[in-house]
Amino acid sequence: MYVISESYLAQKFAQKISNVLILTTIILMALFISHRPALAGAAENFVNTTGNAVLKVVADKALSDSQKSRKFSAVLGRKADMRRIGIFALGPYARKINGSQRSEYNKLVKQFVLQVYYRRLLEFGKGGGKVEVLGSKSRGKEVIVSSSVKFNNGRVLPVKWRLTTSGGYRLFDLNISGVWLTLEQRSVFVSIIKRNNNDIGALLKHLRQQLAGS
Amino acid sequence: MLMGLKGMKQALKATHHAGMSLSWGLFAVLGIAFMLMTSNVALADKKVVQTVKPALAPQVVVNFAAAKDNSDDFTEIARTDLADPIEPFNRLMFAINDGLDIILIRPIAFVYKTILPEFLRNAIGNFLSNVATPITLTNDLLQGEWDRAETTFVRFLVNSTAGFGGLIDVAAEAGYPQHYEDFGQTLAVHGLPSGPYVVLPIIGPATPRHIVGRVADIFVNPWTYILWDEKFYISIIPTAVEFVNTRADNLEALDAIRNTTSDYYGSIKSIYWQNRKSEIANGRILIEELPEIPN
Repeated sequence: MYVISESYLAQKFAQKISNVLILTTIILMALFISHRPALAGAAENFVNTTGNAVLKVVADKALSDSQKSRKFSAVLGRKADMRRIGIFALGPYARKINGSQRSEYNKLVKQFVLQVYYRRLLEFGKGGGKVEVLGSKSRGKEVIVSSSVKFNNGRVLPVKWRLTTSGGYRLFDLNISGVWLTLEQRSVFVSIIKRNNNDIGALLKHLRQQLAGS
Repeated sequence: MLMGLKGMKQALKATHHAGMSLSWGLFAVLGIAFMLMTSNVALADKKVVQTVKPALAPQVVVNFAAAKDNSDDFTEIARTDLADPIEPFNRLMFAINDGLDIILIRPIAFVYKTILPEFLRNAIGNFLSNVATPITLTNDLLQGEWDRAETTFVRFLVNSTAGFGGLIDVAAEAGYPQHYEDFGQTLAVHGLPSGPYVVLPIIGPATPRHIVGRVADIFVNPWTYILWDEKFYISIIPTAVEFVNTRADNLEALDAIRNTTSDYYGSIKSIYWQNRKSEIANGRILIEELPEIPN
């Protein structure tokens, strides 16, 4: 006849509790992952598709620079919320711009912003690369998707994508290593207008000159 | 006579060091005074920092209906941009610095990058960063960032030994990534306003808080003591090498910005400030602090 000590029983009990806790945790985690919002998945998929598509264009050796630029603009132009970007970049002057200036501005700012994105990406991504999505966080009608862009030259950049969600996902801003590009454009545009006695025409002139020189 | 010359030389050296310290000290005092007098960016970055440093509450709710629509005034711009009350002076300084960059610094960085292979440039950068670890470690501790301080300490130990004195960043491969802290960030974490934008000769973009931070960091920088008795042109070698190394790393990026902006000064100012806020927040982005997307 064996005498079962109290400490042995206590040990066995603790082990059982531990096993139950582990199993419960695994089940809860599985439930959590399977019920992850479809929204987050769609936004991340958008970034994955768009990011890798533009990187492919920039790295395409068969295209000339102007062909790449046009193709890049065609790809990203469809995916970016250019209307909102244009309004945002004007800052407080968005309500002061008149009708004829607005239509010229919309045309110029779209070309300009896409040009900026293309030229800046070209500096890093000539050799190609890959976007790796890390996660996302949504707030109201926007989502921020975090990613890591690994270029084939070995460089790795943390990039965050700020997307609008009304009417489908569209790109509003990109954060590259801590800098939001659209925010930078707003600083520059507002500064140009302010320095020229609040003349929006001065900004349009700048944009025309920049695009003519590119 | 020889003794007299030697004595004079030592006196000159001592005077030089004292003079340097006095100059930097005066600069720091002026910086603080300037900041206190002209600061009108008092709370923006402090608010970011105060809400970032503790863990984010998962149930943060932002009431958009109650948010003020600032799209038709400059309040929102003032919240996100850095005040620039001495813009004409800053633009002049920027133009001078940019001229120096075009004719001297960029060409040197270009040659440096062309001659030295990447692994060697990385090794130089790693070594310099490793020696400067006390600056990051001190400020990690002053900010109460214990986990980051631990990472910094482990990095120093591992890289100094297995990394051949810091030439190879072995610690990063082992899951201890590099980060940088400085006293300017520490001041920000503890609520000191940044003050307005200032462009310094050669050094470039700064704020009074950043200037004060840079001065304070001199006292915990090992190079200060290693090269204490050296001639001036020798004592600035580590700074100069780091400057050129960093400039070489950013050749393409800065060229891209220059070639794609409507206002290079404005772009650099925005990038400087956004980078600085990102460093202060340790790379974390608070969605709530971002400007609203227009309807």
